[in-house]
Amino acid sequence: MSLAGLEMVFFLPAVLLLYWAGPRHRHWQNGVLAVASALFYFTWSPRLLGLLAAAIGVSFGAGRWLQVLPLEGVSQEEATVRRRRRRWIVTGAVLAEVGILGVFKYAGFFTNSLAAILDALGLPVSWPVLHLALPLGISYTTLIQVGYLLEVYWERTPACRDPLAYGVFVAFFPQLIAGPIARAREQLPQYLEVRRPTPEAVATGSREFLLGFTLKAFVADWAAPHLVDPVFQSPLAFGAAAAWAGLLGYAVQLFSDFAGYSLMALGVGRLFGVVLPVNFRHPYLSKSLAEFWRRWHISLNTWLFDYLFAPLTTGRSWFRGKAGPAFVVVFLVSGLWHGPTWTYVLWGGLHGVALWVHHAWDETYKGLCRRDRAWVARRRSSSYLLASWVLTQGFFLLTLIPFRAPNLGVAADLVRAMAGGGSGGTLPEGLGFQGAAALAFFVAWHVAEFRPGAWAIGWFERLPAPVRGVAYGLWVVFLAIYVPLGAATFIYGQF
Amino acid sequence: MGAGVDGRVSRWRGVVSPCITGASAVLTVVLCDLALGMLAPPILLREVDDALKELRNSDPTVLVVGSSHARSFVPVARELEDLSGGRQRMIAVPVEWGKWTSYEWVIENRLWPELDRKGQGRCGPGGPSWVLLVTEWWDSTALDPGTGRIDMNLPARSWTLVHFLRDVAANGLTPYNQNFLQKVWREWFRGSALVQDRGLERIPEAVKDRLRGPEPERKEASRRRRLAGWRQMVEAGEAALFDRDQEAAFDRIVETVRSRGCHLGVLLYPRMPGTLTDRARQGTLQSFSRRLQERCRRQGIPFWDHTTDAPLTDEDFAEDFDHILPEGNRRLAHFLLQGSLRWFWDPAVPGPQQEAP
Repeated sequence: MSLAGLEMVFFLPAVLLLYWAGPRHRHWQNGVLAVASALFYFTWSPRLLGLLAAAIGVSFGAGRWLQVLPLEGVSQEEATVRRRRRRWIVTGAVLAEVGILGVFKYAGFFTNSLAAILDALGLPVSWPVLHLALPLGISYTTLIQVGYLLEVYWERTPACRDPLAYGVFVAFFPQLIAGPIARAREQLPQYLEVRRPTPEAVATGSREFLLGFTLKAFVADWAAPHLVDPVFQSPLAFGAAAAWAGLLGYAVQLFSDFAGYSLMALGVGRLFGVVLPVNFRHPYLSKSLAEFWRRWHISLNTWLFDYLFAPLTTGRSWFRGKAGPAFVVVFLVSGLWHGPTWTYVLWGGLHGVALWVHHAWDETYKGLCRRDRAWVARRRSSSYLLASWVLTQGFFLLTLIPFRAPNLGVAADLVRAMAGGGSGGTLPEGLGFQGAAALAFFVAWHVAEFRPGAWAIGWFERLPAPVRGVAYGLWVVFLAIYVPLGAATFIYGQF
Repeated sequence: MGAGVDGRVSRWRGVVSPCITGASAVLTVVLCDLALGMLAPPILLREVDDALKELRNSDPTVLVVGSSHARSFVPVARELEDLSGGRQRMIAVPVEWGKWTSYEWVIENRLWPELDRKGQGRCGPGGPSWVLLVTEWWDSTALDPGTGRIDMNLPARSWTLVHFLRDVAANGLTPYNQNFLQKVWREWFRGSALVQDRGLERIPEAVKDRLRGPEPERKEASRRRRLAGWRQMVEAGEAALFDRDQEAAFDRIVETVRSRGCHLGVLLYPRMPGTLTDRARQGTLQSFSRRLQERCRRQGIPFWDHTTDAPLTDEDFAEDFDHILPEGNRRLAHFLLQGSLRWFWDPAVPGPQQEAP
C-alpha cells in the first residue's frame, strides 16, 4: 500500500472514520492506528509483520528496563552498578535493532564484498549468497527505535509506558515507508494524549496531501520515464544534452518523489491530529552544502547529527573536536543507510569530504571576516551567493550520478556521455504539455519560497472560500486527467 | 462578553470556511466531470462480472471466453438469438488483457461455480453445451514477456473480494491484485468520465481538439508512430509464442471444459489489416495459427482462423488497432453466423467434427 496509490481511496477514509467516530480516547485512537499500520505493513511484507512486532517489543522492553534503573537518588556504588547495567541494556537493544537491519539489508553486501576481497588476495571462497526480502521501512523504524533508546539512556526523555502508543510511534503508517523519522521527544507525547480534529488541521492536512501528491505522482512520475530511466539505462546511447537532461531530470524526480511523499505523510498525519516533523525545506535553494543537508531529508540528517556526529565530536575518541573526519564518517554511514552498494558508499564519501572542505573554507573565511569586515559584505554580495548556489547545487547534481547509477560502470558511462562521448541520441519525446506543466509546478514550488511567491500564496489565501474551492477542484480534475497511470511507487521506499 | 462572542464567531468561521472550500471543490469536480463527459462520454466496458450477472439471469447455450476481444461477441450473441429464434443463447465473457492462464482461472473460479449454483454442473440440456475460446497469438505468450510487469495481465478484474483478500494475504498488495481495486473504483463511478477515462486518454485529446482544433497532421504522425510500434510488437511476437505456462493452461482448459461435458471450439480473432506486415503474417501469425491448429486437430477441437479473412478494413478498428468498432462488430457477427458458426443456428448445416467430450 502506498499513500499515492488507489488503495488509499478505500483505506484512508475507512481508517479516518473509525478513528474519529469511535470513542474520543487515546487507547481507541492508538488501537485504530496500530491496526491500520499493521494492515499497511501487512500489504507489503505479510510474512515480516512479526519481525517488526518483535523489534518494537525489544526496544519498548529495553526502554522500560532503563527506566527502572534511574541514576539519581541512589548511592554512588549503586549508581556505578546501574550505569554499567544500563550500558549493557542499551548496547544489547541497539545491537539487536541494528542487527536485524544488518542481517536483512547488509548481510549480502558484506559477504559478497568479503568474498571479492579474498578472491583478489588469491583466497577464493564460495559461500551461499543471501537473498533476503527487505522488510518494509526497516531503515526508518530502526533509526526511530535506536534514537528512542539513546534518548531514554541519556535520560533526555522518559521511557514510554504504553506499548500501544509506542508501537504507533514507531510504525505509524504514513511515515512507515519513507519517513519522516520520528523523534521520541516530539512524537511520543502526541500519542499519549487524546487527539481532537480541528478544521485548520483538516484543511492544512488536505492541502499538504494534495501538494505532495502533485509532486510525487505528477512531477516525479512524469520525469522518471521521460527523462531519467532511458538515460540511466544506456547512457552511451545519448548525446551530451540528453545526458545532462537525464541527470537534471533525476534531480527533479528525486526531490519531487521524496519531498512529495513526505508531504503526503505530513498531511495524512495531520488528518489524524498528529504532527509529523517536516522533512524538506526547499533544499535546491541552498547556497552551501551544510545548508543543503539542513534542508534535505531533515529528519535523517538531524538524527545522524544528534546520534552520530555529536557523540563522535564530543566524546573521548580520536574524533573529538575533529568535525571534518566526523563528516566523512557520518556521510559514509548515510550512504550505506541508503543502500548496500558501493555507489552509495562513494556518494556518501564524496559528500563527507565536500562537507569537510566546506567546513575548512568556512573556518578560513570566518578568520578573514574577523580581520577585515569587508569580507562579511563580500559574502553577502549577489555574485558570492550566486557562485555558492551554483557550486553547491552543481556538486549535489554531479553526486547524483553514483547515487542513481546501478553500478560504477554505468556512472562512468554517464559521465562520458555528459562530456559528449555518447553516440549522440536524443530523448524520444519532447517535453509535451505534461512535461511542461510538471516542470512549471516544480519551478513554482521553489519560487513560492521567494517574496513574489509568498505574496501570491497570501493573495490566494485571502480569496473567498468558494473561489479557493473552485481552484482546488480544478486542480483535482487536472490531476485526475494527467497523473500517469500506475503512479504509486517511490524511490525512498527502497532505502 | 464581546470577546466571547468574537471568539465564537471566529471559531464558527474557522469551521465554515474549510467546509465551504471543500464543498465548492467537490462541486467543481462534479461539474467538470459532467462537462468532460459531454466531450468524451465514458465508455463502460463489459467485464466478467457483467457476463456473470447475465449468466445468473439466463440459460445460455454458448459461452464465449476471451480477452477484451470477446466483447465483439455481444452483437454476435444478439444476432444468433434472432437467427435461431431464441434456441441458441450466447454469453460473452471478456477477461481484460487475458491470456490462457486467465481464461482458465475465470472458467474454474467464476463460470463453473456460477453454473454449479444454478444446478448446471454438467453441460447439456438446460445449460451451456459449447464453450468458444476466442484467442490470438498474444494470449499464448508469457504473463511477463520480459517486461517484468505481470500487472498487465488482469484476471484480477474478474475477482471477487474474497479472491482479492486471499491474494493480498498471500502476497501483499501487488500491481497484479491492485487491478481488483481499479475494477471496484470504476464500478463505483460508472458515470464518471474522469474515472472511466483513466488510461484511455480520450479527455486530454478531446480538450486539445477543442482548444487547438482537430490537428489532423499531429494525429496522423502520432498514429504512424504507434502503428510502427504495434507492427514491431507483432513481428517480434514469434519468439514468445506458446509459453510453457500458457500451453499448460490451454490444456487444462480443454480438460476442464470436457470434464463438464461441454464442447470446446477455438476461434482466432480478426486482426486489423494495416497492422500486419508480411513478416508478421508469415512469422508470428502463421506460426501461431499452424501450431494451435495442429494442437486442436490432435485433441479433436474445432478450430476457425479468422485472423485475416474477416471482411473488415482498417476503418472498422478502434484507434488502439486492436478492437473492432460497433459497425465492424455487426459485420463480423454477420460474417461468422453466415459462415463458420452458421451451424449454431441452421440445422441444415452440419456441426463441426470433434471428439466426444
